[in-house]
Amino acid sequence: MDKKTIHHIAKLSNLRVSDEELSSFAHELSSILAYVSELNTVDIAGTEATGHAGEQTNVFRGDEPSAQDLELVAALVNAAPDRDDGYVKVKAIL
Amino acid sequence: MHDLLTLTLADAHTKLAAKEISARELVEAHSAHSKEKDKEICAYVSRSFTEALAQADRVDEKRRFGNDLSPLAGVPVAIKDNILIKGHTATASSKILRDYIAPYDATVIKKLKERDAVFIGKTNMDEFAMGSSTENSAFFPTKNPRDISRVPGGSSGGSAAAVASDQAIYALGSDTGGSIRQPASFCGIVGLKPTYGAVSRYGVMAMASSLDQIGPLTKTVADAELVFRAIAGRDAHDATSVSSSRVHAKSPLRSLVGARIGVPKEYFAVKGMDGEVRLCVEQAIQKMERAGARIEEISLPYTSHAISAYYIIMPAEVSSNLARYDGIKYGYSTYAAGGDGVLSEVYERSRSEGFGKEVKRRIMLGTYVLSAGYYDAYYKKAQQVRTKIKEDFVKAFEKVDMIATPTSPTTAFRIGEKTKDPLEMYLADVFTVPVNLAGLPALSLPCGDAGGLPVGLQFIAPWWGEDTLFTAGKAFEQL
Repeated sequence: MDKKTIHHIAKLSNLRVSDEELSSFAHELSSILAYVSELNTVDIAGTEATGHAGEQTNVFRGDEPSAQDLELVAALVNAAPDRDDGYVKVKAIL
Repeated sequence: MHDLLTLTLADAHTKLAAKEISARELVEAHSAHSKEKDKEICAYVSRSFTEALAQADRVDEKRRFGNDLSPLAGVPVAIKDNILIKGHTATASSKILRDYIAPYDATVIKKLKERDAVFIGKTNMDEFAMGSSTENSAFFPTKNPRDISRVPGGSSGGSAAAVASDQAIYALGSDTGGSIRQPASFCGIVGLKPTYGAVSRYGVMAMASSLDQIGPLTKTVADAELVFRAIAGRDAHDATSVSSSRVHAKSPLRSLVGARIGVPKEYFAVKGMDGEVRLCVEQAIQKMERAGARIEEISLPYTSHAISAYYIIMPAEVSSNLARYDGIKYGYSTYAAGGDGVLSEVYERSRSEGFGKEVKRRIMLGTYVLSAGYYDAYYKKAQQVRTKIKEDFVKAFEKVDMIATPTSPTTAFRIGEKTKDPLEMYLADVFTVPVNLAGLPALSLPCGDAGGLPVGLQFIAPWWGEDTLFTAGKAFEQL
């Protein structure tokens, strides 16, 4: 993994990396990827992918509004660094 | 007072029910001991002795009017700091959540509260549960109570160290790739990772959602059983949780006599396996054989690929789950730092300043394996290997009731020993990650010492086979 790739991945991850971090991440991630690439030696042709260990079943509920815990809603909104009239306020997108 | 500190959960309950001791006395004893002891061990990120005393008084009062209280009533418990208790800080040992106050209770906490548990503190961990030594905590490393120059294991190292140093009677932890079992093993206590879906994760910070489970760290197997029964069950807030009526294997083991125990040859031949640990576990298996168990060598051929599959699948899920820490909704934020920055700058700066190095490493690794052009080569392949690992266990359980292995290839390593090379730290998870990939229940329990340090024996049961683990574990403790 070269520094350009790390830079691209950091961008996708919403992270900023310093030049120093860039080289250590390049080194460490390369060595981890080199290790996990041993999976290429496994013959898994035709094997289905497992995304989950559990037995998944659909969970249904009626399409009805449920009573809100207003105290909880207030606590959640209050955790945001900026808010206005019960809404979370953010910086400009562009 | 010392007697109060060494009580098991079951014994504490008996003495409380007989009114030989009070919940207040239990909290006072633990509080006084912890104030001194934790200067050395550093198991706790925060403690709540005042609140615990008030809760203990309420339980003592309740008991005056009736004695049909839960076995957990009035007994001090420590909670890993990635589990929410309303009104308490929940930091996940991360700078990004240093001042975060939980606005609601996790389902496991709600269940403990209904049973009158007494919360005495939140325990240190590897940041967001990413690590095997608790050295990745953004605050401080926790020490192993058996040898303070060594790590307690991780990521639930604070929970394990708190119990092992008598600073709590039991604790809750989370296990994504061994984070309950490995610290239990390193600290010489019992740790249970339940079947995937047995315990609700609502209110627990998600790390890798297809792998995460909550479980107890305790002094005995009987205690682990008591806590498991209290926290298991279906919860509408976690769609993967399953009704407790289904949480029973068809024919759980009733005794070690005649039990068919599989010993996977691959688990004794890994690189880096400590000879003394191997010997200790082999002797434990021989003991079970002498007690009447039928030991059978089995093969789990895909074991050697488990670490690779895990270190693709887990970071992939991490990269998605940790996207929520954005400096906008809660937690550390550069929002107020001003500037004429746009939203994306708040995201990037808050995350870069708030996350530690291992967390960033895993987010980037996960982002990479999911990115365009690499998905099939890494993520999909890892998921296919996951199927093979699961199939290994399905086949094994056609022949045996339970599997016995070491929990970790080594005893507790020295602080700083593995921090330089992340890959070396990952390889220490070789015996625990296959269990999470397959979603199985597993128990780690002490089976002796190697070089003066505790060794953990791991029992793996079929899906929903917790009863088998408890039977075998309690029988082993008697040998």
